[in-house]
Amino acid sequence: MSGRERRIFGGVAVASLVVALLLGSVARGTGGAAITLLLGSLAMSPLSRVLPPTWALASRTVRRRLGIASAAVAIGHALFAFPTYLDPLVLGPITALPWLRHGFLALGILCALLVTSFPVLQRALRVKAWSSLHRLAYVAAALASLHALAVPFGSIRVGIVALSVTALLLVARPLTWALRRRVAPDPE
Amino acid sequence: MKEPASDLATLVIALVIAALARVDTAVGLVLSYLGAWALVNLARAVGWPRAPIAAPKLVIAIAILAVLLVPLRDLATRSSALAEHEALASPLEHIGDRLALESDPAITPALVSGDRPQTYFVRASGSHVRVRLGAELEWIDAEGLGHGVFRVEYDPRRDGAPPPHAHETLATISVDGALSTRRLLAVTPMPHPRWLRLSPDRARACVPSEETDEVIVISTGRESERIETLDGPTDCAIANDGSLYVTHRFARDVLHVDASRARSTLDAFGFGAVAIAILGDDLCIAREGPGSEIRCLHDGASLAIAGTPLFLVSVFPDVALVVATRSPAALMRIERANGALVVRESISLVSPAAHVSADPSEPTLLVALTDLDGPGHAGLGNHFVEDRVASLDTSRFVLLDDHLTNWRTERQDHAGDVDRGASPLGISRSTRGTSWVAFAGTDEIEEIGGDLARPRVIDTAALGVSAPFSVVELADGSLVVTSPSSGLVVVLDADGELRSSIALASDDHELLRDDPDALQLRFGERAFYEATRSGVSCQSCHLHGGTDGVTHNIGGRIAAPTLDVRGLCGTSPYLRDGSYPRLRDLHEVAVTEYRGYREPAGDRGATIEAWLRTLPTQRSFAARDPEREREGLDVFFRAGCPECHAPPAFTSLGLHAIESVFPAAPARTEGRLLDVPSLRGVGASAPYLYDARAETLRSIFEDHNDPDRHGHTRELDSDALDALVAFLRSL
Repeated sequence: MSGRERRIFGGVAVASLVVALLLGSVARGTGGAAITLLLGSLAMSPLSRVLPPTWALASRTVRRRLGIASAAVAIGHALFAFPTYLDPLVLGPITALPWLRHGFLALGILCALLVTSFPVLQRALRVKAWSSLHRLAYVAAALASLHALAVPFGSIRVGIVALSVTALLLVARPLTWALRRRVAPDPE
Repeated sequence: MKEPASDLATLVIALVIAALARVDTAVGLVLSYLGAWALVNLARAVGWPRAPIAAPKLVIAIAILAVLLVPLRDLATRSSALAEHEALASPLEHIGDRLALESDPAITPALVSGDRPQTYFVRASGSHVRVRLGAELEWIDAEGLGHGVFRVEYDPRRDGAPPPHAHETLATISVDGALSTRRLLAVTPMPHPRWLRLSPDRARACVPSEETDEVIVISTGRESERIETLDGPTDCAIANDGSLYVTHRFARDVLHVDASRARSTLDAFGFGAVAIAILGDDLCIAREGPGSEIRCLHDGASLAIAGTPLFLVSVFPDVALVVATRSPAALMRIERANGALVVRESISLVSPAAHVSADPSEPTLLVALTDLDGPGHAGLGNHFVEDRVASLDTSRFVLLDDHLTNWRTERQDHAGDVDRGASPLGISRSTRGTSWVAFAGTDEIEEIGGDLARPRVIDTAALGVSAPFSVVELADGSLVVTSPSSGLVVVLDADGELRSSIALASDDHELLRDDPDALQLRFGERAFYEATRSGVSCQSCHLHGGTDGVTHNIGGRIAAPTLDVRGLCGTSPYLRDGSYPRLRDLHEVAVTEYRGYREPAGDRGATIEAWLRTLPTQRSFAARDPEREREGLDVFFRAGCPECHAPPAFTSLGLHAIESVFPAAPARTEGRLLDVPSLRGVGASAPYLYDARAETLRSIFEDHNDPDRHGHTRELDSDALDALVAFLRSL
């Protein structure tokens, strides 16, 4: 990773931590940070279409790292929030409560993406069409946004912003498709 | 296969799988996609397809669309089920309500009712808060309770009332001098004459209109009178000498108007008097709220009672009172003994009395009910509404007679449906030994009992009298009938023909011309009382536009205590499990569970919603101790209660699984959801918790929170719990 990439990555990470602190508690903070990192990761794809080629390459590298960080923070969020809210032996609410179900489904997708983000594991799993799987990152973002929107403990504004950004990214994705040939092939 | 081709193939196969598997959940869609992705990978692993498909792109696109046509159409048909399962149906109201509550500053309830004092709560980041509930109203200083929570006491008589007609108003909140505006609904209710009371000689009848602070007196052979009262008249009584006595909800005094119309007041020793009865030479009142009591004003005797008093009557031979209560539903016979009031007899009811009355010349108490667990009855009150009228012997306090009131005429065209005798309310004795009953659900009054082989029906709808509440027979045989939802008191002759009509409010035609919004509210109120084909109406459980305080099981869900429908404005979603994002959608319950309505009408759901939104939160009459309330609020925050019961509405409008908050809940609650209820008016809404297992507020924490997940209250000492309960009662 170049110095510029590190600065981008570091900037986004710091921003995520600021979000975490602003949101007040560990569970809310880690949840907000995970969504921020995930949306940041997804934002790198359209950005790579419009940024100068060198920045575009860097943004693609950052995209992967932000995605990995998002999954890691989301796991941390679940580890903090789960025992706070649920009796470890009572798992029924996960399927019963829409907002909890959305959160767990988003976490499951992120975990799957995390596993298939490392070339070693990709080779071990003999996965070839891994990019098709990684399209689920958008689904994970939508589910995480719905989770943030309906979770009764935090501010609904987090969910509204996250859902709006997700919708914007989903619209931006095909719009920037035409620009895909402006940059060099994806290094990853 | 190239990456874009893989993506497309995965998507197409996923949609086909989702359609074949009839998927209607997000989990199902994701699993369909994963299955498709696995298939595509498998295909790539075995090297299929061997060669690119040699066809123009347009042909391929058309082929793909053709393949997808059926699955896409199939998925579209299940989109509403998917949206409902994922709680995405009609989300805007819930989002709007939550945004309003999370704004800074925030104020609740979002309603200004110009007819009564109301308490508002404000959450604000500041130390000095003032509120003006409308441009034409006065500024009110808020009382700081700590933790950014402020209490605002609004009295329209002091601070001004909003202009008539329902409309949106902008409340201005000043926080340390910084001004913010919040949108509220402002209403000035129309007159609502409800419960008629007869004079002992049947020469006169009176009925209060709580919304417009007046009592209407109807006399045989004389013009009717409209007498101005104090704030919020709730009941009236006419003595042998012609004096009129009126109790008030929002005034401390009983109004006395003598036969010459001279006015004076009697100290009622507090607010919240809801009923009055003359007992010999004394005047006794029933007061609601924490610390409900019966009190006789002349000799000062008083008796604390459990539950909320609904009606109070003196019974033959004028030495006893009978009070009907809610939560618990009961009838109590009260007598004087050694200068005190004592309960001599008591009968528990499955559901509270919809109305009681007694003729002072007869040893009979008449009771209108929505269910009765009497001798020979199964007591199915948890599941059914069984409208009925009963009579009790007032001396022995035993059941004399009881019968179901629902019946059907040739108008009904479905087996098992009823169109008469639904939602009995006002009941009274005639001069012939029969009884008159007003049926708000089926727009009629019936004369029953005595020598009548079948009910004698007077169709009040044909007289323009909708949802009749109360009926009494005067000495000359004429009938007086009230219709709160029409703002009408009518006098009928002995044959049921309209003799005169006292219109306290504009009629429907005038409202249609001058104030269509008010007409919509009126239609909503009528629809609330209107019986479905099964005989059940909203009123059946939400008694008197509130709650019956008992548990019901509707549609296979767990039995849960009926919620009070007052003060719902701005608290989406609705029902105990939060399954309805909009109030209007609850109309579906009437259609699916109770077989809909016999008569077609406009959008009942929308009109009922409009009306419910105008019902103000019930005000607490608990004696206030601001310092204790501050201590209680501090305990409230220390125990983590605002995590779910967040000020200012004291709900975060969130959904929780019952078993995550109450791990010791019975297995039947597994997978059941719980919409966090607002704590406004919680002091008067016993019993508590999801299945009414806690009878008192203190019991919620002492007996039903062992796992310490419903607030961290395990470590609270007795004094802290007392402060917490005192604070909750003050809401």
